[in-house]
Amino acid sequence: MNIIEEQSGEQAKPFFLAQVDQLFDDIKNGLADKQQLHIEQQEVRLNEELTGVYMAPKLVISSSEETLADIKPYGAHIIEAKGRIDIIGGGRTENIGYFINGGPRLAADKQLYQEIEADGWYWVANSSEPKAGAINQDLFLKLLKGVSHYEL
Amino acid sequence: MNYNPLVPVWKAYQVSVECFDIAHQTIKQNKTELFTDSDWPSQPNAKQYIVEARQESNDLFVVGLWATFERFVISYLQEKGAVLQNISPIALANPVYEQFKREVEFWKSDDILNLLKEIPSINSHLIGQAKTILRYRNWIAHGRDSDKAVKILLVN
Repeated sequence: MNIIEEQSGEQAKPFFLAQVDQLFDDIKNGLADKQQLHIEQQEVRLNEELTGVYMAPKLVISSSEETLADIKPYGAHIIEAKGRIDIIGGGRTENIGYFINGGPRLAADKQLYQEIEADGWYWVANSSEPKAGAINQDLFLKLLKGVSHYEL
Repeated sequence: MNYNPLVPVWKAYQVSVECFDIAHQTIKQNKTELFTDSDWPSQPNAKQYIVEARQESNDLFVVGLWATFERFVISYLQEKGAVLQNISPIALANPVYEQFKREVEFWKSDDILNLLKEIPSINSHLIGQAKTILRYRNWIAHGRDSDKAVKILLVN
């Protein structure tokens, strides 16, 4: 049974939105000393089979010259995750998933991502070998720099 | 069949991701001399075109992954079905096998996944995930109906 089958939309949506809010607060606090950056909170319309249409917050991070990245919630019903947020820059997109209980497993005793310990938001690498990283300020700045090629 | 047919598709996707990134950097740094045979990089919306093309490429990647997986499984079933050539009466064996070989090409993906679920060594949880991926693939392939959304985390 997968996440989509086992979790109704009404259960998943508020959990997802609460985690998005928490992460966005952390991002805003973490970037507070970056005077050259402007952070604007907007809304994005999401549509998922089990929840229908709903609105979620998104962050737009800009420099004085250009938009660097959209931090955009993608959905609550994700295979093996409790939600996904995309960091969308001009050059590339990075994906963040909210994982619980060690995240995806290849077998009952074998995690796909060894890096997943506590429940939380994790970056998932676009690589053939499974690689993840807990989202913290340093990793977020690295991802922001990677998608925008902007020197922070 | 002890190889992973999805690896080449995945590698191609990774290369495309890097190429989009390089194109974006090139435009950002105004290195127009690298685009002597193309005029779109100099257009005002060039960077936005890259973002949109990247999204299109992401979606096609999922479709490509599924097509490769489906081909792999159908070939596997055709190979396993070769024992039909040994049935008697012998005169019927080859036509029955040829019929099976043709028909299996049109089996529904959902039915094939249900069949695979019967194999004890295949985790039924993985079959459930594959079905969700199939729904996502269908959503893309049928025009991304905005009234019917399904979501999936990046397949790794």
